[in-house]
Amino acid sequence: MEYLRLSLRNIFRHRTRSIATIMVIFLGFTAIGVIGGMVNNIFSRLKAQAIIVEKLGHLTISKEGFYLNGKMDPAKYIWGKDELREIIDVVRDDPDVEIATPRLKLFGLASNGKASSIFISEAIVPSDDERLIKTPVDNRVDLTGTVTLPQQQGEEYSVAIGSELSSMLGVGEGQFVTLLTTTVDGMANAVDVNIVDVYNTGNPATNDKFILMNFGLAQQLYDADGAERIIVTLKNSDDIEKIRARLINNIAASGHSVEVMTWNELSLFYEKVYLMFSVIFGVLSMIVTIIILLVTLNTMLMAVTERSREIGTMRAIGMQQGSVVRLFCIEGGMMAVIGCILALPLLYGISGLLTVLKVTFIPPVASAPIPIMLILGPEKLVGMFALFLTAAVFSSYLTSRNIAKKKIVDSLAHIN
Amino acid sequence: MNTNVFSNTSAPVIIELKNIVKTYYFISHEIHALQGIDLKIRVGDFIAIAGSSGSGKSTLLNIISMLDTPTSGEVYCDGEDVCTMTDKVITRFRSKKVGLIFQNYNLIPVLNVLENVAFPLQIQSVKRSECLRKAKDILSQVGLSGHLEHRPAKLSGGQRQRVAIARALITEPEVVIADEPTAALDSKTGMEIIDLMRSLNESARTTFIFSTHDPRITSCVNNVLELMDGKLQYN
Ligand SMILES: Nc1ncnc2c1ncn2[C@@H]1O[C@H](COP(=O)(O)OP(=O)(O)OP(=O)(O)O)[C@@H](O)[C@H]1O
Ligand SMILES: [Mg+2]
Repeated sequence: MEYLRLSLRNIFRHRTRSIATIMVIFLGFTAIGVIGGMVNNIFSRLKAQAIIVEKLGHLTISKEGFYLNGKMDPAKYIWGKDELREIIDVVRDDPDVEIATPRLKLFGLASNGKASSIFISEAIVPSDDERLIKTPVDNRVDLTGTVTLPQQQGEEYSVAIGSELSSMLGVGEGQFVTLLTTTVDGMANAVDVNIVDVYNTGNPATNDKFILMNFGLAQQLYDADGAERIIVTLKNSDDIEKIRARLINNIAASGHSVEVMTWNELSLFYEKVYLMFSVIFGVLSMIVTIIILLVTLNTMLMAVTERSREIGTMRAIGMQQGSVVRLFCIEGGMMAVIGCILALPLLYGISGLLTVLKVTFIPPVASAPIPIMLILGPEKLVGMFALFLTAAVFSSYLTSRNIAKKKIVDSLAHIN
Repeated sequence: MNTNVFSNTSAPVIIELKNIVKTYYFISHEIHALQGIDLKIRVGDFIAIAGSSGSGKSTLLNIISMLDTPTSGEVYCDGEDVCTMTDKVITRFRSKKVGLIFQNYNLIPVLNVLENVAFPLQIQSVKRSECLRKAKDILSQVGLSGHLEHRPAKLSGGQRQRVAIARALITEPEVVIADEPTAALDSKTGMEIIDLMRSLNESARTTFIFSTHDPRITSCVNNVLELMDGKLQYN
């Protein structure tokens, strides 16, 4: 406690110098906080993009080998009606499972009568999908929501299509488009569907080919009565790995061998973008930490040098070498504490302002603007604070260690 | 063997120096600052060390106060060999046995008078309230009760040296060592400081050893050791 009092007073001995040092820490914390908050926001959005907009849910169950060979031999990797029923029942029995819904994927040509274009289609059960798109992501519901299909009887031929595909074919809401596909056995099949929604898939790679269709319609086009995948959402996805293992076991016990993938394993760009932003953020944090280290090093070096005689006096009247070092470490550490604490209100202020002003930007991987928001994870802020504190204490340690070890008579003889 | 002839030879010895030599190596030549000093400091002593500039007073006092080590010779404090101790042990030893007063006061500028005096006790982890209570007591003995909250910069030289004396006394040391405590003061104030030290010596049997080159001071202290070229002179 005594050391704390003494350190605080010493900080305010050279007001300008200390304030400059504290300012650097303050600005560093704010900058890293803002960038980190944005990166967290992007991660959350990407996660929501994968789970909800790409409709991947948390887990995807398929026959073992589906992702490796499913395209070559689709018939082999489709469950029959009874198999599907059994597996879904096992999955729905799991206490952590919220939704388990069957899916099919379909490829083919979409035609307006004159021109045609490739399409990829995901076939959903509208009543399940209605619930899936409301899944909270990172405990937030404001990130969620996307198109789904009408559930009513007689709406089986309603589809939603990507906005780029819509403009390529020159067809829009309320109009019809013809889909040409093949059945599981390779026979040609065709159907006219009714466009009820045109939307941006949020991903430039799919926006020009995507069609969302009814699961029943897909079964009919495919001439199948089962499904190739089951999409699962969880009540709480924190323990996703544990739940995945449990589901594989339980399904195996019912006599079916399946593979289960997580949303991030299946999302095309989540992992890559996550890595990229993590690296950028890591490098940036490191640079700021080094700057803080150098600035505190400089400040403490000046402080130690000009207080040489004082250190000699304190040592002479009984202070141990270690205590001298401790005194300076507290002094450097206090500057980090003050700088970071002062930055907190500013960070939360900026965060609040961005939320109120609803500023948006288009991230490099998305095709629609997303709001700029700061997600200030408290544990990340604490981690950053710990990093800066360590930097400040470390430079104080480096600078004071030598002077503490110096012969007392030499310290006392120091003239300033 | 040279010993301190003025000492009350029946009182217990606090510090004993045996054949102390201190040589500084300066560029390519040697400076023989101390050349064989034998000295016993006993409880209740009031010793002035006199000598011209460069005679080795500071060097001697630094060795007595365990701030510096001799080139050869032995230093005993309460019968223990100081030269074999680690820095940590010496520091603890010094903070318990020795009080120090410096020529330039060396008060801590960010602490007020009361805190400065309490500081050596706080280093020893004594409770703050206890430290402050004791510091107040001692400050009233040196006549500074009215300046407890002042920072050292607000005080005169004489007042600062009184604070330094109080700081040296708070740990109840066996010996107070002062290197030219009056050199930065005018002679009247310097005399007052010496009188204060003497009255503390007489009333509380506090042991003092200090250096000076002021002949007016040496003339009124009856226990004066003369240093010349690193040797003690007896007359
Ligand atoms: N650190 C050092 N390095 C080299 N020589 C030194 C050092 N300290 C003292 N000396 C030399 O040792 C001799 C004794 O010095 P010391 O400071 O003990 O004398 P002093 O009696 O205290 O003098 P003053 O009255 O000027 O304070 C001097 O010749 C001085 O130059
Ligand atoms: Mg001297």
